[in-house]
Formats: sequence, C-alpha cells, structure tokens
Amino acid sequence: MKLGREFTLLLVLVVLATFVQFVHPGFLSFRTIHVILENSAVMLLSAIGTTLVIISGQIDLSIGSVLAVCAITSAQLALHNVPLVLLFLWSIGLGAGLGAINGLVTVLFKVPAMIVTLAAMAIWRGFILWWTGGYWVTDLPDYWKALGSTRILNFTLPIWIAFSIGVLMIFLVRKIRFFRHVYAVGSNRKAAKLLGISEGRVTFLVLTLNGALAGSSALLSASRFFIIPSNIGTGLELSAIAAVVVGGTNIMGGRGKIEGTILGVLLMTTISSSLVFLHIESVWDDAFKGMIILLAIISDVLRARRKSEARL
Amino acid sequence: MRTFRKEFVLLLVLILVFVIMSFLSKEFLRVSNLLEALRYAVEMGIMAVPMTMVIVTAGIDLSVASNLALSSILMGIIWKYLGINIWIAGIMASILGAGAGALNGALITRLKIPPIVVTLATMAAYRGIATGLSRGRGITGFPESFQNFGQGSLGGLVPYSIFIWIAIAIIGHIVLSKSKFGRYVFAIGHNEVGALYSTVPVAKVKFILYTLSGLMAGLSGMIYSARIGASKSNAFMGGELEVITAVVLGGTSITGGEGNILGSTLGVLIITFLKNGLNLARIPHSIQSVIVGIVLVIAIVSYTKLGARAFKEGK
Amino acid sequence: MRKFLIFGVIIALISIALAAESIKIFMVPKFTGAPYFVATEKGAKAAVEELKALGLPIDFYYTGSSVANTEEEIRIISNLLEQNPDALIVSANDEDALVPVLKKAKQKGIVVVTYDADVSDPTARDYFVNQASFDAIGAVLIDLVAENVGPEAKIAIVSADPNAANQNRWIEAMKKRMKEKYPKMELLTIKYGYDRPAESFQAAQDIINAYYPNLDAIIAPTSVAFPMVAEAVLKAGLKGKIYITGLATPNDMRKYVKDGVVKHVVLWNPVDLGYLAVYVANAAVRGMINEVNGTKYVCGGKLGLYKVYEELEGKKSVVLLGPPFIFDINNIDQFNF
Repeated sequence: MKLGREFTLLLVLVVLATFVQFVHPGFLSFRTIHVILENSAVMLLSAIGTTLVIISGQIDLSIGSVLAVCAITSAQLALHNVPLVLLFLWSIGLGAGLGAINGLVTVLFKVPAMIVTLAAMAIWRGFILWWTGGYWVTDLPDYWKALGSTRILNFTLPIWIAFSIGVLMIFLVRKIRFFRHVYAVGSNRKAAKLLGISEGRVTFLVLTLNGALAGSSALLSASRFFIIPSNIGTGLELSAIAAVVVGGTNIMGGRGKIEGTILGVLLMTTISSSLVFLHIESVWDDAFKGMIILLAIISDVLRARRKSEARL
Repeated sequence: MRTFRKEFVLLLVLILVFVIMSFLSKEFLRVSNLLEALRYAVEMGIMAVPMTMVIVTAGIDLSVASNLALSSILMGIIWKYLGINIWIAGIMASILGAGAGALNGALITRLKIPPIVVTLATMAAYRGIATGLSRGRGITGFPESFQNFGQGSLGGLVPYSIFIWIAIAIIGHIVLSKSKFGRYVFAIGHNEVGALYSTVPVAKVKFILYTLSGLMAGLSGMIYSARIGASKSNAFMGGELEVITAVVLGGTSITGGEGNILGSTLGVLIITFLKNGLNLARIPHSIQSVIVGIVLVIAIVSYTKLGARAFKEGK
Repeated sequence: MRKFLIFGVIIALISIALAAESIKIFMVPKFTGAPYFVATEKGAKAAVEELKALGLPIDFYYTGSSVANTEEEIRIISNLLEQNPDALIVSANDEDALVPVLKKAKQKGIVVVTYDADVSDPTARDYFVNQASFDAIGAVLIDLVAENVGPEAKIAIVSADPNAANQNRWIEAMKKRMKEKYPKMELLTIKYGYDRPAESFQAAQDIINAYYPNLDAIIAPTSVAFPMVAEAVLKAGLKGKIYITGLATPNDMRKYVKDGVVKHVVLWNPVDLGYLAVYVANAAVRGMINEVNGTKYVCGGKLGLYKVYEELEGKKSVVLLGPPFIFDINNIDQFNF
C-alpha cells in the first residue's frame, strides 16, 4: 500500500478530468492538456523546493517576493540583451542568494524560518517595488521567449525542464544522503542531532535550495511574457503550500514525497482550469478552489484513519 | 522574568518609534493624529487577541481576514434582504463568524488536521464564498448610528471602536494570564502530549480558541463595515499576515508556549504608529514594507537572544 | 541690454509680490506600482510646474500604497489629513470603502477631487475628473469588435477583481451597447484575473481552450489582463483568429501591436488625466471655477476649457477629459506612457 496516497491523487485527477470531459467535450484536447502541463511546470520547481522546506520542518513564505525580484531583474537585464543562459544563472544565483540570507538568519539566530521569511516577503517585495519605481518591464526582446517557443515532441521546453528536474529529484531524494538528513531533521530534531546531523547546515541548505528553485521558476514563468508587472509572484507561497499539502506532504515535517507534490500541482492546475469548462460563474472560483483543498485534506485524513483502523 | 523583559523591550521600541517619528514630522505627536491612527488598528488589535492564544498553542489561524470579509457580507445580506436591524444583523454575523471558526476548530481537533493546513483552505474558501454571495458588489446605506459607531469619536477625539478593542484586550489578557483556561493554553503550547496526559482538555480548549478567533473576526467584520460604510468581500485583504506579524512582533513564539496580550497589543501599536509616522514623513509605501520587515527580524532575533541569555542565567 | 535686464527683474519682482499663496495638494493613486499611475503623476507634476510659473505655487505630494490595497489607501489618506492639505486628488481602490475617509476630508474643509476611479457617494467629493464616459468606453470596445469581427461575434471578457467598480461599470456599458446595437452579439463568459499576470494568463488560456472556435473576440478592460490575453492568443497560435481589445497603456501594448496580435488599444491619455486633475483641484481651492449661465467651467491649462457637468451618467460634478482614444499601429509610437 506504499503507493496509496499518490494513487489516490492520480485517481482523483483522472476522475476529475473524465468528469469535465463529459460535461464539456474538448477538455481533454491536446491544447488544454498542454496548458495544464505548462502552468504546472511553471509552478512545479517552486513547489518542489517548498516540499523540501516543509519536510525539514520549516515554512518559507518569501518565495513569491523572491520570484518577483529574480524575474524583474532578469527581465531588466534582458532589455540589455544579456544571453538567456546568463539570465538563468543570474536568476537561480540571485534566488539562491536570497534563500541563503533566509537560511543564515534562521540558523545563526535560531529563529523559526516562517517568521524570517514572513519578514523577507515584505522586504523583497517592498524593495522591488521601490526599485522599479512603479514601472513594469515591457518590450522584452524576442529571444526572451525562446524557452516557450522551443518545442520537443510538441511540448514546450519549460515542461521538459520542470518535469525532468521533478523526476530527477524523485531519485536524488532517495539516493543522496543530504535529503535523508532533511527528512531526519524534520521528523525528529533531537534524534537527528544525536546522529550527528547538523540541523543548521540542513536548514541553511534547504532554504538556499528553495531560493534557487524559486529563481528558476521565476524565469520559467516570466519568460512566457513580453511584459512583467511588478506584482508578479504575489500569492505564490500559499499556492505552493496548498499544492504540496494536497500532494500528501505532512506540514509538520518529516514526511512527504516529490511524487505527491508533482501530482498535487497537476491536480491544483487542473482544478483551476476546469472551472471555465464547468461553466462555473467566475465569482465562485475562489470558493470552489478553497473547498476542494478542504475536501482533499479531509478525505486524506479520513483515508489515513481508515487505514490505521484497518491495521488494528 | 523572561517575559517581563520582552514587554520592556517592546515598550522601548514603541517609545523609540514615537521619538523618531516626532522628529520626522510635526504632525505625528498630535493627539488627533495618534487617536485617529488607532481607529484603523482596531480590527487588527481585536483579532490579535485570540490569535495570540492560538499561536501560544503552537497553532495558527490564517482565515481571520477572510472570516472578517464573510461576516461583513453576511451582516449586509441579513440587514438588507432579511430586513433585520443592523446591530442585530452584526451580532448574528459575528456568531456566524464564530461558527466559521468552530468549523476550523472541529477540523483541527476532530480530524487532527494541522491548523495551518485547515486555515489555509478556509482562508480561500471563506473569502471565496463572500465574493460569490456578494457577486463583487458592496452593500451600503447603513443607518447613521451604525456608521457613526465606526467612523465617529467620543468627544470628537476618541474613536468609539477603540473602547471595544480595549475591553477585549483586557479581558483577553486576564483570561490568558490569570485564568485556568489560560494555563491550559500555555500547557498545550509547551507540551501538548504532556498536557493531554495531565488531564488538560486539549481538544476542547483548542476548539474554543478557534471559535473565539472566528467570533472576533466576525466582530471585527462588523466594526470594519461600520468604519467603511459598506459590506465588501475584499475587506481587509492580506489582513491575516498583518495580524500574525503584529502578534509575532509582540513576542509570541510561533512554536508555542510563549506570548501575551500586552505584547501583541504593543506589536499592533508599533506597526500602526511606525506606518503612520512614515506616511507623515513622506516615506514611500514600498520602503515602509522594507522597514516593517527589518523591524520584525530585529525583534525576533532579539527575543531569541533575550531568551537564550535568560536561559543561560538559569531562570 | 541693461534696460531689458532691469525690466525683467522688475517684472519678476512684481510677479513674486503678486504670486498667490502656496497651496498644498496631495495626490493618491490606487497604487503606485503601475506605469498608468506613474503617467498620471507625470501629468500632475507638469501641471504643478506650469501653475508655479503662472504665479500659483503648489506644494505637491504624490503618494500611495505600492500595491492595490483598499485598507492601505484608506490609512494613507487618513494619515495625510493631519497635514491639512488644501486639496486631495484620489483614485479610489474601492468606490464604497473610501467614502467615509473622504467625507472626513471634506469636513475639514479640504477640496476632494476624485480622478480615474470615483466613489459611490458624490457628497464625499467635490469633483470627479473622469477620463471618458463609461458608456463611451463600453461602446468603443464593443464597436471595435463589431467592426473587426462582425455584429454577431461571440466574446469573452477577462476582468480584474470582481469588486472593481470601474471594470464593472465598463462591463455594464458593454452589455448595454450589445443590447442596443448588436443584439446578436453574445457574451460567453467573464473571468477575473485579479490583475495578476499568471492568473490572468491562465484565465485567457482556459477561455480559449473552452470556447474556441466558437470564440471570436476577447475584451480585457484592465492593463494586466490585456497583455496577458494577447500572450495567450499568441501562445495558442491563434493570432488573427481571435480579435483582442481592451484598456491598457500604449507602452504596455506596443510589442503586441507591432506584432499584429493586437490591432487596437483603447485608452485615454493618463498624463493629461493627472494634469487636468491638478488644474481642477487648484481651481477649486482658489475659487477659479466660474459659472456662466448656470454652467460651471474650469480651465484645464493647455488642454483648454472644460465644462463641469452637473450630472453625467448618474454622477454629479463631473469633468470629462474627453472621448476614449484608440491606439493602433499607425500612432502608437507617438506616445510614451
């Protein structure tokens, strides 16, 4: 029954897609599926980073603002025709740097990451709004969109990049010792310490990694558009946490799977897109999304209960 | 001894804010300015009271602002379409807000779903329902007396709503620091499992806390609607993070077991007067966000240092 | 030469002596983080400069929340009231919520001028400088669809926040125009992107996927959704197959117009809007609004003389900037906002 949770998610996804297709034939067209995959891809890397942070027992509320800083500064560089590869390096590096600052403050001063990143969220958003002076980055050059214009087997690059990294992470998390330390630190801090695992090092690296992943998400997301409004990324952290939780990761830390997160992101994006097809009035969109998250969480708990009761 | 030091630090910070702000603009120290600025802090201040207790139990309630919005809309609907007196409609909506809080509480205590997860979902759901019900329109036209309650002042100087805030803060403080219930709250925050085995009615206490949080959100919704003269589904957007920031700034530990109402209230005051002074000093809003963020980090770092030192001194 | 110099100095001295007292005007946009409002600030500051040169100095301060947040706007305005400006120029994030604080301003004797986005209660402000009439905007947008697609087009709308008063009014005006002139035109759906790029982009994509090929046009009356709709159409490879129009600044849309995926951008001149708002506020404070034969007139500087409408589209005391303007490939390079 190890596959239980992910299987349920997949089942829900399939059932939902079938239902919507039934109500509105045409939902499962290549175009729609591609839209769902691409919008998922754009969010996926941030969600993976969030998963690791949560597994380690922390919460990072700053990724939306980090994304904004990375996306906007990269776009500004693009206006000067800096090559795309360098922009990627810049975005990831900057994201990693901002994540590292979160990590440093959290570890050095022994404060919960949730609060540090709550402050960072305000600081970086305030900074980028001041930095841009109210202007948005517009008239981006054509090469800025190279990622989205390149297709392999008719799927755009961001999809390949994000899902490849996702699959890669699934294996890395199982093989690399560092990630086992992440789980250890998240599930039992004291035991991990006794085992010689440095909680500080793990926390610092996980937050830095989250920042880097946010930076890469920034470019995947922003490179879809010729214009970057200053409020880009607002609300990302809470959406990511929702997707991660729906995906089965335990918010208290110590448990969670990348596979679950991938499915969680796919499910959230599918739900979001399906609302138009179901002809649900847009004023009720948010209510639906909220209630579905609630249902997912409740059903997950009930399922786990039944399972543990069955074992007894 | 440790907790006493935190409030002392906060008071110093507040005084420091006052001193700096008074240098930056000549209007800051005017009584009319200070009292009027407080009017806009009432909802935050009221919701900070149950939020403090919730966070002390190592929980969190992200749904407070959405609950406020939903209560605001429900009050408007009850008043306008059911023809019920606005004050009674407000009380009814506050009770409904308590109900929404109770739903949070039930999911947290019965199904043992972590508070951050439940309230994240209800944060989206409650405001979403408010938007759907109101269809994006506001409900206006409240009677004069009701609007006066939110917008007017006693003697032309002290906003009426402040008195409600003071009352709730005082009651909250007494409950948290002096009553058995308050001791239960701290016990849960320090060691929930231990509390459970010590015959602390953990589930009941938590359920009550989240219900109270909802009740205060509903009440704040009523005050908010009186203040802006309308019921709106976009009321107090982003408010949950403001309240949490104030509570954490006030010394309540996010990991539980520590906190008090006085600190949280000082946290609300610091943020309010900081922004107020910066507005008067013509510092751009974006920079204000940066400053508030930096203040939060400095505060939280100092609390840990203070705590560590107290610990080392064997207190 | 020296005679001119002395003459000049004397004139300057007389001007300084005759110069009016400086008045204080605060301008608060919905939020500062958008080029549209930056443009209104530019126009406002130009007006302040001109008025200063004319001997009517103004102590001018432009500020606002950096992101669109009603509560922040209310707090900022409330705080600023303490500095007793002579006039307040405000674009309201929320037409209802801003009423009480503006009424407080009026009680203090401050002249309140709303611009770009009005409040629902006309007693809360003295004048509303409207960029263009709601009906005109709705009509232009629908007419463009009718002209470029046909009177039986099937359209969708991507708006901002369902609580946004201006957007809702424009949507009502569009519906009205459809009913009056193009009864066979059909509104398939309205989605709300909350002025967030990713959400607006996805909303447009979902609409295209759900309705195309039974979708002819998408209207986006907001400067975040409009470019995002263009992006979605580009991405779907449907350039030229779905007609897009809406409201946004030419700078935001230039790339899409040059590309051809968007043919027409509707707006007005926000620089002029800010400029006019300052002139109206200045005139209101200094008593320079003149009544002739029962109608009030106000001087809009370089823009000319403006009538103050007693009532226009259900709103009182309105100064109308002008008709909506259509930007297209031929003229879009002439503008920089």
